[in-house]
Amino acid sequence: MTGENLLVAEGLSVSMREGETWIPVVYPGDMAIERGGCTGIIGESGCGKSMLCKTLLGLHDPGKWQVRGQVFFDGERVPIEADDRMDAFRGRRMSMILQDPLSAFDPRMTIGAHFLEGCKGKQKALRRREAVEWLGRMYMPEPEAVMKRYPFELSGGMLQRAMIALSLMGEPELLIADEPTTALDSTVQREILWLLARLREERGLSLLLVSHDLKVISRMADWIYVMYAGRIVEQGPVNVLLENPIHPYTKGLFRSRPAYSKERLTVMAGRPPRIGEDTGGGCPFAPRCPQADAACGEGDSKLERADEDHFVRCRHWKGKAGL
Amino acid sequence: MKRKFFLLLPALLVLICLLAPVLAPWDPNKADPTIKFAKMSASHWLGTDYLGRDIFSRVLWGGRRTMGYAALVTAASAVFGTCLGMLSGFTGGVFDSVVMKGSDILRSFPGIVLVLIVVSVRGVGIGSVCLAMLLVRWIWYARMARNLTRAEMGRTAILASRLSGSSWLKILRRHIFISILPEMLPVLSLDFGGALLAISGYSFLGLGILPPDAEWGMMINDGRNYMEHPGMMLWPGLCVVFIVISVNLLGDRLRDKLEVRRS
Amino acid sequence: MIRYLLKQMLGLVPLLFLVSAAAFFLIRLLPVDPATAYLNSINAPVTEESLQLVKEELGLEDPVPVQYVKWLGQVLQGDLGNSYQTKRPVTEELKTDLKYTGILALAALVWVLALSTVFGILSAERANSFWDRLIRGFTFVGAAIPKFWLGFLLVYLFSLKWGVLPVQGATSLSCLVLPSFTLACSYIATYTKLLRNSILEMKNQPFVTYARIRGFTRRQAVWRHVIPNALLPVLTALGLHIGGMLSGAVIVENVFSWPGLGRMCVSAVAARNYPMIQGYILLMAVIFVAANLISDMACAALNPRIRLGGNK
Repeated sequence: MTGENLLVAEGLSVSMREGETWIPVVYPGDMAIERGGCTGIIGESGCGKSMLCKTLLGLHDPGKWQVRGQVFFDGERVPIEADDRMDAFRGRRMSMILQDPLSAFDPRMTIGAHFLEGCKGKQKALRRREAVEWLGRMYMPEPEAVMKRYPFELSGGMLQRAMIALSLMGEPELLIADEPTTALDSTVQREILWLLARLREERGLSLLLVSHDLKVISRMADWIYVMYAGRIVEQGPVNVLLENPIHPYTKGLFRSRPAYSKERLTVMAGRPPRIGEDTGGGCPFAPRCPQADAACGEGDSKLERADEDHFVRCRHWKGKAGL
Repeated sequence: MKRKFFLLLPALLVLICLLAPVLAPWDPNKADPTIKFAKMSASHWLGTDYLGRDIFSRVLWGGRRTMGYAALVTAASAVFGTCLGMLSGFTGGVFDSVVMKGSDILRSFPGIVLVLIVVSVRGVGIGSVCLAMLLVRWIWYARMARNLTRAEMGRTAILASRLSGSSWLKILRRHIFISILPEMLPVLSLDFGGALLAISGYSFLGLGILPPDAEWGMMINDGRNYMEHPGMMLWPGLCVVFIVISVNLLGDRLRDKLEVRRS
Repeated sequence: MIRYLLKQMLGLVPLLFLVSAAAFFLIRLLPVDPATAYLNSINAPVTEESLQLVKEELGLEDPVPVQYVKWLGQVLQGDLGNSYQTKRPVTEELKTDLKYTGILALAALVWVLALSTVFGILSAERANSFWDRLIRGFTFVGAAIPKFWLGFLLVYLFSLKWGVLPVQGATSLSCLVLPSFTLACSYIATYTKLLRNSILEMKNQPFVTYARIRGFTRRQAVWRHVIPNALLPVLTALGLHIGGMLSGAVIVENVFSWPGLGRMCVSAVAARNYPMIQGYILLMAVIFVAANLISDMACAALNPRIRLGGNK
């Protein structure tokens, strides 16, 4: 990693309460987001990506979820465990955009009302001008008119733009984008990604991009974390990972994409373990892994350094370098 | 264990009410002016009312009537509503939209108005009340059965059965009815409570079961002029509350079970 | 918005028509013919001449459809005939009774709105706490208590035992407390339960999370986004329960001797006072339709999707 880290997470883990026990959803892991960079998290749905994002913003109900580990933002410890103290971070230093833009807006309120929420008296006119300006920056056609519209009157792409503008109103340094394009059709997808890339270039916005779509991640991110069953299984700079994936899961993931392989599209067999499902203490990927052997069933493997920036969680990584 | 107990107790009450002819220690209508307003005693467990009738026996007989008619109305409206709803969902088209529009309008119409109309025409009596209740109570079943049938129709098993040439009656009975039945059970249970409240309410107003026959709502009405003897009102009222709470709990539990099974 | 309301109104017109027909044919369907019924009700001797006289007076010689149209014309002019019991015009009688029922229903509505919102919010916000359990217990019992029994129970406790509130009558505001609460009780239970579930469901909505993400506090998110949205289904349900409330008022009025429509109609049934029954039925239908329209209007005003006629 070349630049300075904006956000660093150490030993971050999340568990879900079920009766009297806690079921791990995200296993302890470290993570870093470079200032001004775009960090990508990729993995199948249910692997704990969204959970990780919510954790960074301290959005968990402490009665149902247990969060361990430390998060530092710009060198300052983030009080992810204390909901009330997080209000100073949320929206102001880091913000987030959600997967389904329609359900992210209160159906009773106009887009403008969302922008003006929490404003009183004279602030309103000022805030309204700012909002129109921000919508314009998102290449929103007729921003004045859009302010008066209700969420259900706008298209998904327009709503996503409005959501980005709304999230950036507080001038956060980090924007977490949880599957920002999944609910959109492909031409709109491209526009939104282009917009995010532009914001990064022009405003120095740092991005944490979460997706199950390798195409999106590989185009946008400069650093990739691959997650499987709540664990980071491989991480590294995007070009290293694309050229030389080591973990069998990463390989499988890349191979499922026709663009990166001349072989016929091979869909990975099987499914990831469900949250709380017993994996017998071994590597959770072993049942689906083409190279698994008896050793894989005994104890989970650790994240090991394969190269300077390249880490992988597979006990057989040495024998598997290269496709 | 505690929950089971809570369902066992009402079941016991229902049973002893059903067995009223055998279990009731006294003739419920036999008045004895010499023992008016007797306190609870070994011979009259819950005391006697303003005519000297045994309250315990009247509660049992009253429960038999109240719950019996409530069950009758519920069963009849469930059968009628479900059949109509299934047919409506199955055939679709004009018939479906007429049934649904009609039920839409009637859904929240005040039941008392229909009772008044029927009672005015046929005269006061439990038959009129039951008939009037039937006129509105089928609606919930019809709507539910119709929507469930619509959902079921899309399933491949139904399609396959249709393609293989099963008669529509057989499809309705064999496939649709079987699969929507569990969904209807919680509604049935909750609706029984509603019907019980309604029947005792109309009898309280003097429109339903006529004196001297005992009925819970009417017994409460009998007691209104003798509030210094609260026993006359207390017992039938407690029975109504107890039964209705129990069936509501049962309905909620059935619904929860259904949800667990679905997910 | 206006188009939506017109559409809703159009659906209710057939109901009004049906009810008016039912009210009219009510008298034609009687086991005794209307003329005899009328004579019986005023305790006049039933003779050939008197029957003939009544038939002419009541216009019973015309064919039935003609009678219906004539009758409908009269009804539209506000003429519902005279009460057999008091000989006063039915419209006059209904007017006084309606005032009392209106007061009772409004007071009950105040109870319902005030208590169920407080209970519902408290219960959902402190889910599984002592208060939540207490309130949930109340919703179970409140929904199962028959109104007539609850009414007497309250009279027994508050009037006879403690003597703080009057037993019955309608002379002062304190007379209103017990009847209106009795009428409201089961609805308070229903709406508390509904609002609690609705709030808990809304809390998981993405737009609530998104409000938190934008830096609003938990309290702000709850009051601005969760509760207003959770109230919508409650208001819709209120429209559905208007009919039940009108029926419930009949029982409550009889318990507390409240001089409203409900008590009047039961005594009219007992006396076979058909013009009054007819009037009551018609009035109920009109109230029902009007109340439905008001609740539709309220929902439309609060829900932009309906107001703007968006795809449902």
